[in-house]
Amino acid sequence: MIKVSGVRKRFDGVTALDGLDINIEKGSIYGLVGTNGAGKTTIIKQIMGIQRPDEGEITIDGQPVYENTQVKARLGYVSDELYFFPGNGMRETAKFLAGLYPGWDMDRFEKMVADFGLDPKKKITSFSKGMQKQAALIFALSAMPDCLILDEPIDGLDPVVRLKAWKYIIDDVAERQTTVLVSSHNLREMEGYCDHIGIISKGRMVIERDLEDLKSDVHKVQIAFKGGPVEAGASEEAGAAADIYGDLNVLHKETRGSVTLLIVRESREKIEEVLRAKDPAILDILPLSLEEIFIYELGGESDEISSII
Amino acid sequence: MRSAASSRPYASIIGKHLKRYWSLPLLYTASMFLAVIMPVMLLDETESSKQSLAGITGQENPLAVFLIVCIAVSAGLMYEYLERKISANYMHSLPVTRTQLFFGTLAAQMIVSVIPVAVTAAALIAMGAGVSASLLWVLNSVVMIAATLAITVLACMISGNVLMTLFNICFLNGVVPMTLFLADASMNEWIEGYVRSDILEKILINSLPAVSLATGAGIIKIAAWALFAAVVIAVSLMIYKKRPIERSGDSLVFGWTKAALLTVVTFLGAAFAELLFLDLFGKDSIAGIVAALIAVLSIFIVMSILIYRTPKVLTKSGIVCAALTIALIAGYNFGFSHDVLGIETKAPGASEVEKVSVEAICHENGPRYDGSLFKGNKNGNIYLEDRQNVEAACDLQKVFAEYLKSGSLEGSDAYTQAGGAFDVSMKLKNGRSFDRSYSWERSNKAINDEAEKYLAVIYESSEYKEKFSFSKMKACDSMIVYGSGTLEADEEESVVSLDRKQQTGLLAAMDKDFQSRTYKQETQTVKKGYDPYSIEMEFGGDNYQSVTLTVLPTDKYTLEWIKKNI
Repeated sequence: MIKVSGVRKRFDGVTALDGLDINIEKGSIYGLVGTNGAGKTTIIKQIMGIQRPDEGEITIDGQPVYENTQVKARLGYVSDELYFFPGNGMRETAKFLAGLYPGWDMDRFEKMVADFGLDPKKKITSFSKGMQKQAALIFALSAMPDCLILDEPIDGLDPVVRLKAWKYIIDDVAERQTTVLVSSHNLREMEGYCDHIGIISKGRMVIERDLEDLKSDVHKVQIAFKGGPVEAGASEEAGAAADIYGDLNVLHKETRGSVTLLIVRESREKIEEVLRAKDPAILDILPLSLEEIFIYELGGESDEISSII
Repeated sequence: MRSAASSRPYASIIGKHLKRYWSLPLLYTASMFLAVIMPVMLLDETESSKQSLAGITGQENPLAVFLIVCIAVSAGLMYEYLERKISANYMHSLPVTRTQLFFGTLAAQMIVSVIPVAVTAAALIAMGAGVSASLLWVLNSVVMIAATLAITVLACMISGNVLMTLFNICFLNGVVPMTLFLADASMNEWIEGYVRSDILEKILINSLPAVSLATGAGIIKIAAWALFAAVVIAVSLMIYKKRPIERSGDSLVFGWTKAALLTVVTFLGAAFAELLFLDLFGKDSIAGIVAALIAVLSIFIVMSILIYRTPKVLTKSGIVCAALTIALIAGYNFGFSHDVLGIETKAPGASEVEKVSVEAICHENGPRYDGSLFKGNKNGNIYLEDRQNVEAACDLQKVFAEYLKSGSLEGSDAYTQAGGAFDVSMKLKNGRSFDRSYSWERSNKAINDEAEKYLAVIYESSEYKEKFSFSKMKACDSMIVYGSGTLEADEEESVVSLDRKQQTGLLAAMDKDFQSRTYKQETQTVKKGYDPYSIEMEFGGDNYQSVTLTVLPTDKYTLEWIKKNI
């Protein structure tokens, strides 16, 4: 549904997007993750037609987005930086948006306003930050979009409101096959809702996979041997010991006491097959969380991060 | 309930702006009423009231013009959503094209601006102003608004924040008149003999839409400014379509305009500072140079901070702009001081000239003959067409042109040091004008002797005597003879006011003297001890004028009449 092909964008000599490709299928919930400054908000702005890429193409159902009102009328958007017309309440803004979005549903708008407990007469600029986020989400969903683009939409919302928001989104996906692109740093939450993940770094796509496939391809292995840790160069047999993991694609290796922690990008079956052959005393193969996949794939490990994990 | 299948972008955008800026038309309608309409309503006399109404519909009320300009500028700021990233991103995420955003906002601006004008026109008609005059005033005002708004919109399109938008509104409105004024002031300062041409004056007056349309608007002028507005709006739309939204919040959205604006503003500031301080302190004055340098540096630093938004001025861009400005200033100084265009040394041949007007030919006795004092010469110039007069004027111009190739008349002040003056206006056969004005000291023999030779030819010609005869002058309202050679004399017998019959008699005597007077007699310095009579003539009407003539010792008929009749 949403296709980004070879998009490049530079600002004042800095390359924000460097040949980025994204493919989002219809009816999927696509989580876009990346480090700070990776280009997530930039690509979202290109997808929304706010900015024009220097190179490359962005299409929705084969149609270019930029300056295309028919395509943009099918998009709902919640920005990371919210703007509302000064002096306007929810209803005035709704009336304005109803004149722009052909699919606008005023009944849904009223229902959601009541459901979220917002005062439709009060000026939106006087709402708290969390309430403004709710308002922005209500406007986006009331336009009955075919694509929902959310840039850090849930940050700042309390757990109850977050659940409510996701419920509306999931219902739309289930009932109307709405395609959702969500960017957030809350990876634990994204893991619960997204079915596809795209990890970008320095303006490029690092990994773009179905989330389950991604998780099934990377595993955390805790292994211990009789006789203590096996370290390269520690003994005469170190040379042979260093090859013990040679058949596996080890992303990360760390020794904690007698236990060695490995992050391996291989299928579970192969990991078991290779490591069981070494006769370990302990062998645990654990799935990685999205957060851990993110950290290890982007090589963002630092003392602080490793101590947290 | 779902909305209609089709969207209404223009209605939504216009409605949104009108809801936000509803107070603008209200404010300006009230201002127009209080400042313009109410004073007319309070007039007791019908005639004064009619005159005031005619003044308003004729765009002669400066306050009304000022308010109309304010409406247009403040309405233009509806594009303020472009001046911040957050609002610019929001508006461009909506399902509207840039063209729809542009024209929707423009339509709202015009609606907001035209409402006060329409209400005022209705009030004018209700008070008795002619319907057609009022409708013409509406048309004129709407075009004034459109042209002023167009410039404001252009400023909004190239600017990235509110501060620069306001600066650019002033700059774009003022750059043409400023440049023309600078050119005129520079020519006046550097080019000897320079006289501002009528065309330059007309261009200056017409370089601002409000001033142009307020100083006499016919259908052609209205159409021209309407076309101007359309062109500028079209250019603004093109710029808007190319405008990078990510630059909203920056000073200027197109990078190359930063260096251009900094250079141009600094150059203009430097040129004005140079003219001002060197004029105040003197051309070779160190104090003047230092003051000018300080002014230029200050302008550069302030503009640099505004444009580049950093106190660091010694950046690569800053140094490039400084170098460009220095080059421009050097070129400007060299060009004018060395008269690169050869203006000083121009002298049309007699065969190119159709007719000439020579004024201040008789400086010694003040502006004795002003062309506008004569019947049938509203613009003040009386032209001589006899070939000998044309040739004499052209030959004298050649004398000055030759002299200025290597010399200078600078420093001479004919009005305080017994000098001479030559103001000439030539109508060329190709339709153009050639105007010059020189003054010199009598002690400058090289110029003075030649000038006297040619001016004598003109002054003593039958055409000059015929066209400047006192019999051709307009009737004056009063004529006063001051005795004892002093205008401040308060002895009654020294100040005599003449009746109509006496005026006719004295004028006839003065004309006899004028017809026989030579140029040498005309320009003689008044001898010490000679206590001349003075004759003051006053001309009333729309343009009040007063002329004072000194009776010369050779004016025998005038002296005889005064002794006989007063």
